[in-house]
Amino acid sequence: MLTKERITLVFWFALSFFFCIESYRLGLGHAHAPGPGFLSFWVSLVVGLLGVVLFLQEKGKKLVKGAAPLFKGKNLRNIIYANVFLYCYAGLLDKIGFFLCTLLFIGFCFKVIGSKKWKVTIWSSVSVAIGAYMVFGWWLAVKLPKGKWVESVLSLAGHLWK
Amino acid sequence: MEIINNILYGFSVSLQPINLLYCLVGVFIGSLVGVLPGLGPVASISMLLPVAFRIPTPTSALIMLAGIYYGAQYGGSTTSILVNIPGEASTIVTCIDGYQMARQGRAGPALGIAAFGSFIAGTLAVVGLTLMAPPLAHYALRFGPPEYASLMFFAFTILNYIARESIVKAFMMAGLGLMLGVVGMDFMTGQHRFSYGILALEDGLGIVPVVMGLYGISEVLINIEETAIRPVFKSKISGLLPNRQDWKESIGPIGRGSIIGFFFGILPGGGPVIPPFISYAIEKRISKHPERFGHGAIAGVAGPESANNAGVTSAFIPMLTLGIPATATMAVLLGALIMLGVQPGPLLMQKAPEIFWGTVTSMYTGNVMLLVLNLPLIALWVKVLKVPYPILFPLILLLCLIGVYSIHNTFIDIIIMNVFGIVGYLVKKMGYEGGPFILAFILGPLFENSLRQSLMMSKGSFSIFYARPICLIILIVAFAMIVSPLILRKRVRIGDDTR
Repeated sequence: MLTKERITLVFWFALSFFFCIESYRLGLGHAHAPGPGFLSFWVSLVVGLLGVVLFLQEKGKKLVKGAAPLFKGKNLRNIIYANVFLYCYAGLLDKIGFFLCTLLFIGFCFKVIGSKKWKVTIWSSVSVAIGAYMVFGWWLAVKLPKGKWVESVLSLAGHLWK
Repeated sequence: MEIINNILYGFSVSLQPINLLYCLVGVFIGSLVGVLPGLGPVASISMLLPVAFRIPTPTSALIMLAGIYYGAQYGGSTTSILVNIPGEASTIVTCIDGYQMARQGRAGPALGIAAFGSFIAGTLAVVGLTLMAPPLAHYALRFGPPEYASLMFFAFTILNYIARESIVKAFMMAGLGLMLGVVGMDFMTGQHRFSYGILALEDGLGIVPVVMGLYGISEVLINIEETAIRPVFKSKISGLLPNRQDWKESIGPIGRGSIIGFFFGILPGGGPVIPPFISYAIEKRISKHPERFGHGAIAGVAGPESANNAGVTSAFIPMLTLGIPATATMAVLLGALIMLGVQPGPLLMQKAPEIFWGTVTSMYTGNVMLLVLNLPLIALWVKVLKVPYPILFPLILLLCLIGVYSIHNTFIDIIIMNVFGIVGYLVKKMGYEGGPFILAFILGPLFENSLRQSLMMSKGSFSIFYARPICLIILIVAFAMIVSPLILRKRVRIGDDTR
């Protein structure tokens, strides 16, 4: 059996076990009045059984010599960077606001993953941020966050100006 | 006579300027995403869901989303013919002869016949949809909770056919979809399930963040891990109109492709993916010159292209009349309608005739728009093909981020989307598929409610499912769906239309 299959089977069994226990805790009810855990309990049991079937199917398969690892020849660095940028976007959106957040996100994507030149990166990220703000904030009237930190800085600057 | 009145009413809705505009936007975006390899109709529809929610009426929203779906089939053929990369799973077959025609300097007629064939098939299929949907919906009006529970169970047996890889893995993914579908408040007891005090989970996992993550984000991740550079089409295209000989060779395949596409498209798991393969096989078999197939036979483009367009249209029949999505894209459309406050099913025609007939008739106008749009815009699509992916992917990610944020204005939805993006990426790497998960995730709550209501009605007896004739028939068909591949020992490998 291949290693990746072993890992996924462990995941499925753990998931099935977790949902079984939690569904039981929620209450299965009776056949005439099924409880909130009724469906998820039986589904998790079936998933566990399917895991056993998959295990038996995969058991017979031998590890192929020289089989390519899952990420061989793949640019894993890009995947990691993309995820970091996505989570940073989620974390910073309310703090630094839509415009700045989008500008940085696009800039990092172009520069770090796309390996674009600085000039192209800056020009493209500014254009995309402005364009996105025009389309979503102005035309589609989506409530885009201004950013708590940006608002504080602006308010401080306003006080200092006065 | 009633059908004519309904069609006229439908046109009075779909020909309103605002609906024409949304139809145009839908078919344009559909063609665009069809051209772009790595961005399928499921991902693009899910990315545009937030935009759809801001559209004034559900009718306009559905007209636009439907336009994206059938528009993608038109666009998908362009990449198949010009660069030998299928824009969609449904245009894989078009690569075989379409690309050979392009190499022989006949890209123009190949693109032309693909567009004309798609138009003819799409229009014929809409006629079929118009005629078949009302009697089916009328019959389904007799359905109560047990019938719906049986119908949902039947829908899960579709997985047998949707699954491209392992059936066991497909059912496991469906199980995961069912389990995650019940997260949130139980509407019968008011109890919170699997939310653990997290406010964002108390209303359940949103369809949009889950679908966007599973398709939008994960598709980008899969594409940016590739190190190979996409080939760019360089030669010029001229003479888009097929000549008399081309038409003579294509008209039969277009007719047969339309019929094959329509009937296979209705079947669960059919949609637009399997009919082109069948059409190609039939055309090759009945051709007087089968040796030409694979070397640039125009019939090898006309038949499959007609079949996939007819398949897309007929896939709307089970979704609109029974509330059963036959493909992953239909599941997303079903979810979109539910979120828009519309419940697809037999009552849709009575409760919201403007949505049903407006959408159906918009497909006539949409097909005309696609024909008018696609031939002159081929030069533009070629330019789009030249856009490097490093430029494209940040924009796709940004669309997903803004789209998911705009629904509830909370970053939690972005995190849920990111999590499902990684899940989608990993499951694809491990040989699992997203289609069964989405199908079960969307149908799960409906199935659970009908099942529990049925059991309460019967005081806990499962006999309710075989004592009622409609239930019994549905369950027999469902059982046949499960065992038929085992009996035939040959499972028809039908792909989902996720790409």
